Amino acid sequence: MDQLGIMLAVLGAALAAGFAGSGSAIGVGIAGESGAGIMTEDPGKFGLVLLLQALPGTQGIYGLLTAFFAILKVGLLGGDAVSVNVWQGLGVLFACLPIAIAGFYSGIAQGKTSAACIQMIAKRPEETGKAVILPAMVETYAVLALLMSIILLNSIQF
Amino acid sequence: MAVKRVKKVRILSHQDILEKVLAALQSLECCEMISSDGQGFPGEEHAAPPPDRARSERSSNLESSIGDCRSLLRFLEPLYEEEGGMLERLLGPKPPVTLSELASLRSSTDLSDLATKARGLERRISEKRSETTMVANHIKLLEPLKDLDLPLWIVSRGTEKVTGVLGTVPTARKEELIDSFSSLVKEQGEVFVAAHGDKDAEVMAVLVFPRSIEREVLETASGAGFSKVDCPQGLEGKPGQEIARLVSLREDLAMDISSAEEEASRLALDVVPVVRKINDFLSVLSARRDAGLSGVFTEKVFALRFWIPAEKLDDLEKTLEPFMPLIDIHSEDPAPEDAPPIILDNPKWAVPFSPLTKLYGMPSYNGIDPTVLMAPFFFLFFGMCLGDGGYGLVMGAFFLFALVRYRLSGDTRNFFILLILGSVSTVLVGALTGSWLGDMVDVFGIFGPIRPLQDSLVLIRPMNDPITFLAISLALGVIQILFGIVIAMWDAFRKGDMMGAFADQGGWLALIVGILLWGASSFGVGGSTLILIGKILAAAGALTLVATQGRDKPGIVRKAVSGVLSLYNITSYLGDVLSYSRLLALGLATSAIAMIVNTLTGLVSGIPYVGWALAILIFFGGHLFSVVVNALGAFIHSLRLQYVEFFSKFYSGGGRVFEPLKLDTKYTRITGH
Repeated sequence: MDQLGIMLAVLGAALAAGFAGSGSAIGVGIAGESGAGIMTEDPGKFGLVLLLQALPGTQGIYGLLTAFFAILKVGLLGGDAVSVNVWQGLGVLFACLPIAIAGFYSGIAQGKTSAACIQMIAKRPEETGKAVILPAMVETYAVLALLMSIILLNSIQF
Repeated sequence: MAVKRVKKVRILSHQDILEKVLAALQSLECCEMISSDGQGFPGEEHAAPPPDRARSERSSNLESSIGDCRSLLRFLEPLYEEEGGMLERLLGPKPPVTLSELASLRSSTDLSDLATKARGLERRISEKRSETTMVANHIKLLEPLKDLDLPLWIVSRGTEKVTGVLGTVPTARKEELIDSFSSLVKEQGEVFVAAHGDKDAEVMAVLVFPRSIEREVLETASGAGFSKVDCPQGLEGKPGQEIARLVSLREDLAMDISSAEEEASRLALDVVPVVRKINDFLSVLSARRDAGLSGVFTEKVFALRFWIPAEKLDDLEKTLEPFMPLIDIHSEDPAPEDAPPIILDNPKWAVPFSPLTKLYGMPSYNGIDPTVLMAPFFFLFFGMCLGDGGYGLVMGAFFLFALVRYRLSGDTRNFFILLILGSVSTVLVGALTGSWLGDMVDVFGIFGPIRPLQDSLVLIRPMNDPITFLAISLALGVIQILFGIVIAMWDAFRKGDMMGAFADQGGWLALIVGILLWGASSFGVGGSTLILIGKILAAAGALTLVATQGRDKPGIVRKAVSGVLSLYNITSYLGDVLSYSRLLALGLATSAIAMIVNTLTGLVSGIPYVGWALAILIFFGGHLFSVVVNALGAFIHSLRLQYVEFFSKFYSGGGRVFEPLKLDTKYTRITGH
């Protein structure tokens, strides 16, 4: 049964990295499409567009982070071997869910906001500051989910 | 913590010296023109500037020169190789020039001639390019027909008796086309179907037939799925010959284009630096002309009105001294209905933070400037979000280098200094939390000797004790939000709004502090007296809010309902405080990503032969990526805490940035006359 415990933890890590990463991929994709449209008109905006396109990318990083935390926790990344029972494995799986779910949806939502903000700087490049803040409002919820995932992972006792 | 006082100035003088006065004001760089909006002198009807042929001619000359400059730069700048690269031009010091140098440069350069030359080149290149595209299309069209042994003029023109058509037919139906065509025209015509691959859905076909039965042939053929393609004019010979001709034509065109492009590059090398300088000069002149147009004129006299910082009044008088008998200066304080421009006036240490205020929006003239109030919080929060000594050092070194290397000025300089301050804070937080490129010092053996030094500085390790760090984050949030409410209270007090100060802000302050004191007892802090004080404060706060928050509503019932409902706003304060948990989350994320990079480095270094190279790659690449991503996140999120959680308590912005008439140049720095 030890194996099942570890595999549940691995499933948690896979979900965290996979879903949060997918959310970011879709979000960055949406923002990128919008950015390419702007750059056909004004290639000089590349820097600003890239900045805004990168914003929805953080969810993927948070997912990766959580995944690493999870497998580090069950001793898959070297260190001392840990014995993980099924309940502990389930705990790790559940702890990964906040960032998996919130990462997926907030990545997409943030991508849309970024795309809209890219449209905004096309017309008003002087308002870049505001354009950077709006997507960050969405990211808050990914940050909160990451926080919860980490606290949950941290509180599972082995 | 304030906004600079400004004065409204009006000068009256004689038309003859208008240009000179404007030039003097422009060099002073501290006067923002007030547009007259067609208003005349007070009590006079006359408004429009008198027609002045010389002036309007000069103005249209200026316009056409600016147009020439723009078109030259638009075409030639992409071809011009910058000395020292792009970054050098964007950030580097601009070459110093004087106005008279620029003026003589302008008069010695024939801009319109250069512009004509450049436009000619540009047109030549674009014509040749479109011709190349056309030729390529023709080649593509003829390629399948290269085995056809029939001159194309039969298809493109035909003779009196014979004509032909070019078209495509679905591959599956080509037999059908051949059969139906042969049975219609018998021996009098010919059908050619081009070679094709197995997977091609359509195939090219040429039909040649007597002109007399053209209509029938086309009907039959389209019945077999044939659709006509127009044969381009000018194709005469057999397809094979035509293709050869077109290919060599394409080569000629390519050579023409590259020679024209070379010519353009040479032109760019010659004229771009000159045209840039002239462009700067013209924009100075055009700003000066526009400033002149904002004035009011009579036949002999003009009046200009502008804003100027009060402290610059003496400078203004000194500058206008030479015109003295001819000029009248009158200054006054802004009237209540005016909307004076805003200049932030901050102590030196807070100036680097002023771009953040500008980003949100300037304060109003009598409002609070939030720069000083927010600066310490931003400094601390940035450090907590990035929170790694190693990353702080890397970032600080990078921006310090850029600052020294490129001798920046203005808001770019402020911004870079802000980031350097941020990295100082990051190093401090990193030292206190024991994070130097994550856990680098702990995991790599070679850092063993400095491990005790690192450990001696550590106060708390958020990785091991996240809850304490979370409590610190939230406590900072409470402090900042209460501070925001106190500022709003003071502001209301200052403006004489006692009800706003004590009922709105005071009520919330009492309620929140009361609840906090009350709640502190659950952690065993404070005795029963403190709890009692907390309860009383909370009750007093809540009662004040219930009693006053409905004061704008009519009727006692609606007043009471609004008052009670206003207590619901406590959730927004709760949400604001919880939002500060990002300080922990982002700080943890930085340390964790750094830790992952270190772990991966350790893992790959065990691979035989290439392990060390991979380890170096992952270590440097990974940490570089991490510092960029996390610094961006730290900046945005600590800024958001200021804008959304802090500013919303007391600050509304709405001011207008001061935009003086100045020597505004893009490529050069004007140092004098």
